[in-house]
Amino acid sequence: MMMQNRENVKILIVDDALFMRAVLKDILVSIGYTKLFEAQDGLVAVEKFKTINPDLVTMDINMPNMNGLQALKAIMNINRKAKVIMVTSVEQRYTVQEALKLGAKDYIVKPFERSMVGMVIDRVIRMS
Amino acid sequence: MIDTNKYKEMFVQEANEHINNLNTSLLELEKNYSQKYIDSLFRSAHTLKGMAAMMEYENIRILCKSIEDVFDGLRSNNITLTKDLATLLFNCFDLLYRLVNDNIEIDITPFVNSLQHVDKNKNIITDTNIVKHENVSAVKDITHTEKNNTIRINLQDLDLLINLVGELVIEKNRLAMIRKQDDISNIFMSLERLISDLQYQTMKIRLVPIDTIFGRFNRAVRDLAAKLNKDVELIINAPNIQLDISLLDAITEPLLHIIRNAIDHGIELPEEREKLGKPRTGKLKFSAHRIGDSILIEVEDDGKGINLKNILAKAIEKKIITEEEAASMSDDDIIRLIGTPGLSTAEKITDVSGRGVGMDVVFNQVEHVGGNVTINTIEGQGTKISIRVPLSISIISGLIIYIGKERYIIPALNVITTFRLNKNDIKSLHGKDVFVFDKKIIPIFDLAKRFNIECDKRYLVIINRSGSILGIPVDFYEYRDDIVIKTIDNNTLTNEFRSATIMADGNAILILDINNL
Repeated sequence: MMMQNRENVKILIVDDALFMRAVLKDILVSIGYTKLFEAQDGLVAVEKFKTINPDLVTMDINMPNMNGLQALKAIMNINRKAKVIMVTSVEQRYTVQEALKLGAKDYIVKPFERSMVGMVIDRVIRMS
Repeated sequence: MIDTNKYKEMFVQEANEHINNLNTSLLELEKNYSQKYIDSLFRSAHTLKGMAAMMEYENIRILCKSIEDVFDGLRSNNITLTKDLATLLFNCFDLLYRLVNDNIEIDITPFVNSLQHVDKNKNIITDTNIVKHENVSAVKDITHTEKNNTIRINLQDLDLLINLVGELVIEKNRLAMIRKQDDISNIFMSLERLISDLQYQTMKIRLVPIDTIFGRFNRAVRDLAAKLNKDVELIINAPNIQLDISLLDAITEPLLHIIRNAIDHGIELPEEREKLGKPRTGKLKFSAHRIGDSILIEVEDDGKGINLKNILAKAIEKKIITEEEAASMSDDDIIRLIGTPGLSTAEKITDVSGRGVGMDVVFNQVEHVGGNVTINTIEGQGTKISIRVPLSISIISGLIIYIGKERYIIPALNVITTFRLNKNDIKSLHGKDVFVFDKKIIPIFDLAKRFNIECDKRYLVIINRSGSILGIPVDFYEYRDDIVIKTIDNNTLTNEFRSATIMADGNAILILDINNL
């Protein structure tokens, strides 16, 4: 199967921490993903998902206004084929399982490494 | 992993926002038990933990994890919030602050241990004030709303920008001198409007809401009242007040000192207050309002007030004044003694406010940023301390005074009023020059004599110097609201001046440091 060029892939980064968004953005840029968008909570994420129609979403779980799980549900309602990757901490296993049931494609665990992020994102992008 | 150096500054900034939120939310939670605050507390601890993990700051990560677990316990009702638990959490927040900002290794084990041993059995409900109710009026989600409205800007870059605008104002003033030719007058008018807008917008960037320091006030009041077994209610009234960030920094410690003083020495113990017919809970009112181009901040308590006789006795004992001087002092004069170095009236030095730092330091720090302090006190009823500071520290309004051929600037904040002087208006009293106004005797401060300049003394500028009223005779004066302050190398100036401005004609004028006259 042809791999989509990384520079054409639109990724929406959802996290309430500016710091986390910056770290993730830099990692993604360093491995060739350049069409990056940001949202600081679930509500904004859903709105931006509608307008941007990204190929992939990275979704933090604990956020004000609308948390990651609620945003995931809303996004899956908009597009059943949406590709959402959860960004979690170690002890959120239960939440991750719930997210996977709701349609999240995969997850990355904080603190994450560049190679891990790249691997997971590449894999999910390749999914049909 | 990641290049932590690159993200350090960003980490510290955002971590501090979360620590601030932890403090304010826990204070709110103590007053008003609601799920909303627990969620916000949990989220901040959780987010900070994740950030610390990325930065490989193990201490911060572990501490946050333990704090997060406590909030998780609160959320699921496995833990109850007692006063002791709140104190432990506040101490942990302070520790977090140090870990984030001081870059030092601290042993966090005792704190983590204490947090891990908080459980249902050890925290039996004792505090009946803790009532569950969800419909607390719409509380702002601090972490969220502020982030969207706040920009981060490098202070050095900003100062350069402000300097440039300053230069622009000076150039505009030069242009004003030649604008009589009709054709340039239109250009001048629009240029003037443009520059004044630019000036306003640029200055605005440095302004921060005064609210940012209220978290510290609330903490100080809570901690100190608990320690001294006093009941104190802090009432804050400062609608939409913004201050220059440097000014806010400069007055935060003095304000905290005033607040500590009020609780330590002003507000009485609940039993004492009851006997006096006062409510058991003391009131501490903090207010801030904008008045023209200055901000007036008042801290008022309903405690025992300041005993003026004690002040007087102390001042004589410490040889600050003589008994003869004391005999002729008005109440206002005595109150002003409070700002004198070395005068501490607290009967014993407590570890709260008696740290060798007295009101004189408060006066000094406020005056250093061009502000002034006044104290009003009624024995038995309370004390009100007012601080007035300029809105900005780079462009001020003031009077240009002319003495002979010399010009000086007096900041508007120091000016009370001006008078046209007639011959014989200045009288001599006990060999000193005075001016009588409204039955008050105003001492004359003769700058002309001080600087050895001839002066016709046609006008009198009445100024406020650290609470005392003085009259400065001048030949002439004019008001300006766009005086750009240029700081000058301190070594080259005498005490009377700390800064200068450059006038339309290209000449520099020194700005009088009234409090150092």
